[in-house]
Amino acid sequence: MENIDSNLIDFSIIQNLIELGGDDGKEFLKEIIELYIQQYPELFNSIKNNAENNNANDMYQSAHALKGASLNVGAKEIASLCKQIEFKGKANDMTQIPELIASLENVYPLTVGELTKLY
Amino acid sequence: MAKILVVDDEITSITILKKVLEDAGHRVTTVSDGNMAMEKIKEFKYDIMLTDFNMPGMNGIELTEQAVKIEPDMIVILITAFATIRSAVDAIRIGAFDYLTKPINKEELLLSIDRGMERVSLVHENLLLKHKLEQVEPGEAEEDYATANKDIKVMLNEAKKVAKTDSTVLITGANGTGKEVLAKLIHKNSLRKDQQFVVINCAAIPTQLLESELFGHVKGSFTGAIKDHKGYFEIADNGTIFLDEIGEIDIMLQVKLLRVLQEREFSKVGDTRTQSTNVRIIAATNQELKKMISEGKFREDLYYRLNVFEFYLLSLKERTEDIEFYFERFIREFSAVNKKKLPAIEKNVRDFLLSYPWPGNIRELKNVAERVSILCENHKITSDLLPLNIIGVNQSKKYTEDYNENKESIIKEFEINFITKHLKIHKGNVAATAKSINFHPVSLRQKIAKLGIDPRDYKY
Repeated sequence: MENIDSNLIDFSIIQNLIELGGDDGKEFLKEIIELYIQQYPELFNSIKNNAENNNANDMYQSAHALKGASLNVGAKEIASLCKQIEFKGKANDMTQIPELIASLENVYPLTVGELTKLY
Repeated sequence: MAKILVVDDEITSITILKKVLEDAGHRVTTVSDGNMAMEKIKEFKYDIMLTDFNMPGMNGIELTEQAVKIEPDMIVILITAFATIRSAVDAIRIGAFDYLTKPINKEELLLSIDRGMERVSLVHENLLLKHKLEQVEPGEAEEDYATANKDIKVMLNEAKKVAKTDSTVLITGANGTGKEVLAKLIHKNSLRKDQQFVVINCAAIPTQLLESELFGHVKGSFTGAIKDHKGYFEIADNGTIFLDEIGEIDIMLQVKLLRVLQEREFSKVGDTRTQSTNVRIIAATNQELKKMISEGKFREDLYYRLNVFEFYLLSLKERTEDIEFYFERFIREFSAVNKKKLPAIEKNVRDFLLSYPWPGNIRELKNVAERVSILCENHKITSDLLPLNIIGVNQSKKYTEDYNENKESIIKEFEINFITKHLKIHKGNVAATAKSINFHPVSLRQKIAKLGIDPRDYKY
């Protein structure tokens, strides 16, 4: 666990998930991370498509949902990027959105790499 | 155990919440948006709704506003990934009970649920206390079932074992044999002992009212239903309901009761929604239910559901050792209550007591003990303190040489037997008894008073 990148993952959240899982803590952690990986493409694509179509409100909703899911698995860098997209979407401000989406595209595989090391 | 509806559009949150809540023993239903949540609330009764704040379509605030209109007593806890003072204030203002932030902290969540359930319990307790104040109780049941009879002692041991299970129990026996006391003993020895124990006399409440008392009703379901009303299957959830005089329950209501026993579900009168309940039922009757089944007055399937364990309480005349046992016990209790020295009991008092048939069983014996305890002087209980119906029945067997004395005694015996028999048929109603025996009601009241008969002994 020591070689987990703390810039990408909040390890206290991972420990919390293992505790929530009780006797099957690791299994439970795996289940939640797999659910996160499963739903990520749909939420990411929704952010991207809505951004491309200048649909700020729907982009904000998808970013909010992805932020919540990311916080649940301790994916703090993704959550931070989503939070910025969410705020901009809520304010109907579409500047720097492509850059933020590009950052998400970069950070996601690294985050998944770290998460899958955990089980 | 709380019945909790979890509303969140995000699958990892739902999975985590479900896991934490189910591990803590709660019953959890999950949905992914506000509209589905409203559908569930209309179908089923939940104690707590745990909802995400920010959802597409109907958000948490809008959902809370709509939900509390339908279910004002439901506890709502809002969860959000990003808390602001403003949103927290908004949530509480519209009726939310608490406000939590993501990621979920197990201790914080379970503490909030426990506090919510405390409020649910307080609401239920208040309703029960209100009901108890409105009820005219003939007297609190004793803490334990005392007896000198060895068969009853064996039965009590069995009852304590059965108490630990959730099985339905049927208690049979004549009036006044202590069916409610036994039911209370079973509850106090059960795992539900810290929960509610509700007593309902099915014979004392008209059918429509009984249905409403048991299952509750919604506003407008019948004339006079001016607001929603919680029934005992909701208020006493996780506790025990004692249904006395179960044989008096209407055949239509029997169907609804059967559903509770089979499915652990019911609906309020006038409501299409289903509610679950975890109530243990103890039923009692002095009637022959099997005979009622053959007459089509009682459902056979309900009988077998109720009769998982049956305990038959012997009448006093079938266990004469308990007559002296209870009499002495009651005299001790009443002497203490009336702050009197414990009196001596004359031998012929015991003889009178033992040869009387005690149709009202322990309840009647207790009334007699109270009477003599109040009347007794010089710390001695003598036979002249006993009611005439007890002495009369015995004296009739002992003829003297005096013609008039014997004649009076025989007439008195006849009058007591005749009047008490008809009072029993009419459940202690003097006017109905007078009409049925073609006797003027005022004269009957005078005669009853003269003979020392208490019509209340024949009420149940």
